[in-house]
Amino acid sequence: MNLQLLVSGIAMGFIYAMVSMGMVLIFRAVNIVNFAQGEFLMFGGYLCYMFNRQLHLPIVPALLLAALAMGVVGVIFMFTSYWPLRNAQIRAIVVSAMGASIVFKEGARLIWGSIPVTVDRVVKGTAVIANTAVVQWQNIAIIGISFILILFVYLLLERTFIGHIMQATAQDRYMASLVGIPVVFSIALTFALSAMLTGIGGGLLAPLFFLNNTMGYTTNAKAFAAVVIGGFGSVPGAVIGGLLVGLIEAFGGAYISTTYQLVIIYVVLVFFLMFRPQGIFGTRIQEKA
Amino acid sequence: MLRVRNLVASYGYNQVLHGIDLDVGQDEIVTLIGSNGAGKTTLLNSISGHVKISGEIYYQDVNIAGKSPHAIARLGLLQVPEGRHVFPGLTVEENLAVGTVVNRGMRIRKGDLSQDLDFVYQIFPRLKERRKQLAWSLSGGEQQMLAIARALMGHPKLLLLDEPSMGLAPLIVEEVFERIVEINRLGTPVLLVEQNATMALRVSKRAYILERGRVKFSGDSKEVAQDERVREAYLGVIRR
Repeated sequence: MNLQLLVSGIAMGFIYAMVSMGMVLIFRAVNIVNFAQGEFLMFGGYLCYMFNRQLHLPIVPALLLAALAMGVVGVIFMFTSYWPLRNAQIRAIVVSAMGASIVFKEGARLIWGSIPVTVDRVVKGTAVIANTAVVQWQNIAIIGISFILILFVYLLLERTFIGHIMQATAQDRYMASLVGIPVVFSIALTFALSAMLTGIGGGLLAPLFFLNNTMGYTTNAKAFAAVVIGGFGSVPGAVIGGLLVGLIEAFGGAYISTTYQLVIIYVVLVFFLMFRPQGIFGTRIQEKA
Repeated sequence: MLRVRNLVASYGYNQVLHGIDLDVGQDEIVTLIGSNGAGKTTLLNSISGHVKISGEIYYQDVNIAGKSPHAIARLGLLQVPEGRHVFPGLTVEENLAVGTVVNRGMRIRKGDLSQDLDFVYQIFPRLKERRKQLAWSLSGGEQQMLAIARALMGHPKLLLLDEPSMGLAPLIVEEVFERIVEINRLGTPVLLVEQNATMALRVSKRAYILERGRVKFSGDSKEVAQDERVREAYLGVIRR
């Protein structure tokens, strides 16, 4: 087993987990697969670049500010791309999200140009593990920070009252308004949370892979695969799916071909669709007549 | 406490309610009877702010027509909709806790709800046994009880019940109606929409008969139950 690959695969896996978990949060709230979720990663990365390299803030505050700014971006996205179309057909909203992803992509190009950029590492240097593997500290940092953030969001949803309110709104919007929940606020909160979680991933990823304004596209494809593999709508599933995608990509890239990384992921996806279409976790809730 | 005047509601070009007048007084159970498509649910959804309407709806002398659903809920008009609408992925107790948003607001921690929980568990002991269960796994009757209990958690000033008997076994229907009477006796007025006219007329004080979006007939429930036309059309009594 190649330890180096394992660590970088898990680190990438956690990045994808943050994207796919963000996707699932929005899916559960409004029943729409957000095909602009990958753009949140890209845009969050660029915001982090702005705070870190253009405004010369240290990386940790830059990440925090980028996350907060992404919360605002998430709310704006919700009010422009989803809310006006909430009663329209689902495909209209999917197309609107795709449109928004173009706005993000070209917006980033207008603001920050098309030359790939990077940000500071949270932890510099490399570590030697078990005398054989040279691992970048940034990978370890990604794993630690992402794990904490994912756990935080999960606990927020499952263990706090505001989380239960968001779940209730996601499960039955009509009823939520009848018990006095301001539905628009609850949904906006979900979008903000989703964009923050995914956006911070961009800032963590940037030191390893340069940021460019088109990276959202493949990220979307991988995160979508992760969501399906994990079990559509399941939060733990999205995390496990994300990790799997990261590992498949790392090992597939090293042992098979880097050109066909995405193809390999989709082969696994097709196998899941054939033999376990409900994904690893399946659905927890059934509808009773 | 609730006065509906000349209420008109339409879905697109389809006018559903053609000028409804209706009152619910303090402490009474008022029932609304009508066949499928008469506009009963539309009337409730109009009161709770889910349907665009013209006309006036006075609640404690304030016109609430045109207010948003959650604002109306926060005034204390709580609707238990047709088909129960429990939050399927939350447990019984989490469902009940969400019911307190209406009077305590959105918040990070739910706080101490033991008093409210004790109150509803006293009325619906079955829910206490099931309190850790996800709501989707409850039986239909239990879901109906949960839906009503969740509304009680918000200290309703007026309870709007839409077809609480739908899809339930007769014995369970009896039980649910007993609870509704009990809740009313504890001081909550109820506007009850029902297809089960026999039960509804038995527990209510006054009744309105709705036909194709108009109030056809209204009065004391006992008198309504004796009316020939009502007996024939809604109670299944055949005239000889």
